[in-house]
Amino acid sequence: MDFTLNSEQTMLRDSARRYLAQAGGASWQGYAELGWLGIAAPEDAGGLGGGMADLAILAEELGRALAPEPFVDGAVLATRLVDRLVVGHRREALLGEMIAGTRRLTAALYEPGRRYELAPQTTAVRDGGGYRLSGTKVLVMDGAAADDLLVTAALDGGVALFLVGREQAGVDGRAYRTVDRRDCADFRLDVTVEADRLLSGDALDAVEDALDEARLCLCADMLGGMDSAIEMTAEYLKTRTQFGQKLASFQALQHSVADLFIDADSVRSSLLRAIPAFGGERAARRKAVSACWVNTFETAKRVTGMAVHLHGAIGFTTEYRVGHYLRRAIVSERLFGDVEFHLARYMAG
Amino acid sequence: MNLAFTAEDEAFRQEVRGFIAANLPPALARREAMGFHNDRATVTSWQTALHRRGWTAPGWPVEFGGTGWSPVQRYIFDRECGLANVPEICLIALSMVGPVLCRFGSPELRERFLEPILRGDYWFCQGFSEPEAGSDLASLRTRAVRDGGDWIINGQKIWTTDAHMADYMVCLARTDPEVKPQAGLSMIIVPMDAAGVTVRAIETLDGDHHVNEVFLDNVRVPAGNLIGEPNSGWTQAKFLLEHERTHNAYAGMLCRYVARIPALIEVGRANGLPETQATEYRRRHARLAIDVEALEWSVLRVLAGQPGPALGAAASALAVRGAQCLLRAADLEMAILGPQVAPAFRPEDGVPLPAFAPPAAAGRTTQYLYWWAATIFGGSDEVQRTIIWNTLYR
Repeated sequence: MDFTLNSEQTMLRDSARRYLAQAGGASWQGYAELGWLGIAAPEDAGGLGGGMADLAILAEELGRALAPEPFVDGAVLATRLVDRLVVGHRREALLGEMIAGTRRLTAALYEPGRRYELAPQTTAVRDGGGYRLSGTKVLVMDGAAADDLLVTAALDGGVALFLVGREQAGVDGRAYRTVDRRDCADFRLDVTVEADRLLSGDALDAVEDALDEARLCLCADMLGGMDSAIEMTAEYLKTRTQFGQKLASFQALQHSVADLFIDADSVRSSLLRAIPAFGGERAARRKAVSACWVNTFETAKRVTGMAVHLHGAIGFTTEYRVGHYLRRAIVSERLFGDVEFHLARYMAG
Repeated sequence: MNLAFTAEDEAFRQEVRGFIAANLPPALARREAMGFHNDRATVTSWQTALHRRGWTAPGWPVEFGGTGWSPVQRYIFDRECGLANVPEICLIALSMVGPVLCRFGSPELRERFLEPILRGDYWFCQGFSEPEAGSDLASLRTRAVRDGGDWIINGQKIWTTDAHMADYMVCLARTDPEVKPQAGLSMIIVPMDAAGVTVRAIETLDGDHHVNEVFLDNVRVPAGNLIGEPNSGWTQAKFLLEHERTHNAYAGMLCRYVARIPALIEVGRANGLPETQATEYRRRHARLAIDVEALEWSVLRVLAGQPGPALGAAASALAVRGAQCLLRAADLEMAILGPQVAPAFRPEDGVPLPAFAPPAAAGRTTQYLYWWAATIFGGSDEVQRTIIWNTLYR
C-alpha cells in the first residue's frame, strides 16, 4: 500500500492549484484546454483514462478553489454515463465533443417529491418510430447551459436513459441558482425523441455506478473546501488582534482549529478508503462511498460552520470567502443523496 | 498511489487468523472480551506461542527479533488480534523499552534484556509520570546521583501501569539539575526488587488494578543500567512515545466493538429493549462503524507515512479520535444493555454477575470507565491538540 502521489498525480494537483489560484475556476473552455474534461473519459475515445484517485485529486483542488463550473456533473457523471451506455461511433463522437468542451451534457435524474429515488416517474412511451417522454426533473446542475440532458424514464418496467436536446420543443426549462450560486434548472418534459436517443433500456446499475464516481468526487471537492477553510481560519487568527493580542495566542481558539483538523483528517481517510473500492465488487463500493459521504458532509457542516464562527462577523459576510465553503457544503450534500440517505444505504449494504 | 490490499496481504490475514485460532486459549479471550486487565500468569501460554512463531515484537528491528512486517502487515495483525479478543501483553517492555534498547542501548544492555523480554521473562513498567509531572513531563523531580559505580535514585513515580507485576522499571530521572529541564534527564533501568523500591496499588474508577505509585528511596543501581549517554533521556523518551504512535487509536479494539455490537443489540432485544430503541442503536452503530473504518485508514496512513511534522499531527489526531470512538462504542454498549450494566462485577473478588444480567453484560461499565483514561494517557487530548496547532498552524 502506498499513499504517496505518483509524479503525474503530483503534477495534476500542483498545476490545478496554480491554475485555479490564478485564473479562478470559471472557464469550461479552460478546463478543456487543461485536459480536465477528458480525465474520466477512456483513452480509446480520446480521454486520459484517469482512475478514481486522479479524479479525486482534481476534484479536491476544484473544491478548494470554490470552482463554480459543473466538473462533477459534466466531466464525471455525464462522461461516465456516456462512456458506459453509448456504443459505437456515436460514443466516440459524443465523448470527443465533451472532452473538447464544445458539447455539454448533464444528467437529469431526480424528480419533485421523490427526494433521491432513482426509479423515475417520468415515463417513456413508444410513439411512432421514437419515444414520448413525460415528466418533471429537478435540480439538474448546469441545466441551463447544457446542450443535452441524460434523462431517466420508466420504460417497460425498467429504467431507461435517453439523450434529450435541451432546446428541443417540449423541453420546458426553468433556470435558477442554488444557495451557493451554482447554475441549475428544473425541466418539464413532454417531448418526442427519435428511437436512437434511447441509450439503454436498463440503465439503473450504470447510473448508480457513475453516480458513485460523481459522489466520491463531490466528497473530495468538499475535503478540499474544508482544508482551505481551516487554513484560512488559522491564518486569520494569526493576523487579527483583540484584547491586545493575536487571536492565535488563545489556546481555546488553537484547540478549536486543531479539532477541525482532526475531523477533516478523518474525512481524508474515508476518501482514501473508498478509492480502492472502485476496483472491487459493487456492494462493497457502494458501502464505502456512502460511508465517505456520511463522514464528509456531516463533518463539512461543522468544519466550515466553525470556520465562519472563528472568523467572527467578517466570516458571515458574502464578501468574505470562508462562508462560501459552508454554502457549498449544504448544497453539495443534497446533490446525490444526503447524509441520512447514505447512512441508510450504508446500513442496507 | 496504491490503496488496495494485495493477495499477499490477504494471505497474511488468513495466516494470522489461523495462528490465533490455534493458539489463543478460549478462557483468555473470554476474559479479554470483558475488558479486564490480565495478569502475567493468564497470558503466559499466549506469549510463549507468539515467541515460538517469532511474532512477539512487530515494532523491533529484524536483527533484534522483530518481524520485518510491512506497515500493512502490522495493521492486519493488530486488527485480527482486536477482532479475536487477543490481550495486549506487556506493552511497555515490547513496544517501548525494547525499541529504545535496540536504538540507544549498549551491547551489554541488549544482551541482558532483549531476549528475556521477547520470551516474556522480563516485564517492564514505565517510570515517567510523577505527582507534579503529568502532562508536563519535563518538570519531573526524581533525582539520580552518581556514587562510584552506581546511580542512587530518589523520588516518586505515579500512574505506573503494571508496576505490581513488573521485573524492571524504565525510570526517567534527573541526572543534571543545572541545565534546562529537558536536557538533564536520563533513562535508567531499575530492578523492582531493589532495596528502596516500594509499590502501592491505586484503585481506579474502572474498579480494576493496573496503575500504581512507586516510591524510590535511595535505590542503588549499577551505572551500566543507564540507557545510552547520560542526560539524553528526553530524546529517548520522545522516541519511545512516538514509536507506537498509532497505539492510542486502539483501532483493533474498535473493530472488536463494531463487530460485536449487532449481536449485543439482539441480546438487548431478548431482554426487553424496544424495537424503536434498537433501531436507533443500529443507526448509532453504523455511524460508529463509519468513523472506525476511517480511523483504521488513518492508522495505515501514519504507519506507512514519511516521518515529519504532518505525521506527528496525524498521530495526535488519531489519539483524540480513538478515545472519542472508544467512549462512543462503550457508551453504546451500556445503552443497549440498560439496567443490566449497573451492578458491580468483579469475578476474581467473588462479585458475580447478578442472575438477571446476560453474560454479555460482564465488564461493560469497567471498560467504558477505562476509556476515559484514554483521553488522558499518552498525552492528554489537550496536549495532542496543542501539538497539532504547533506543528501545522503556528
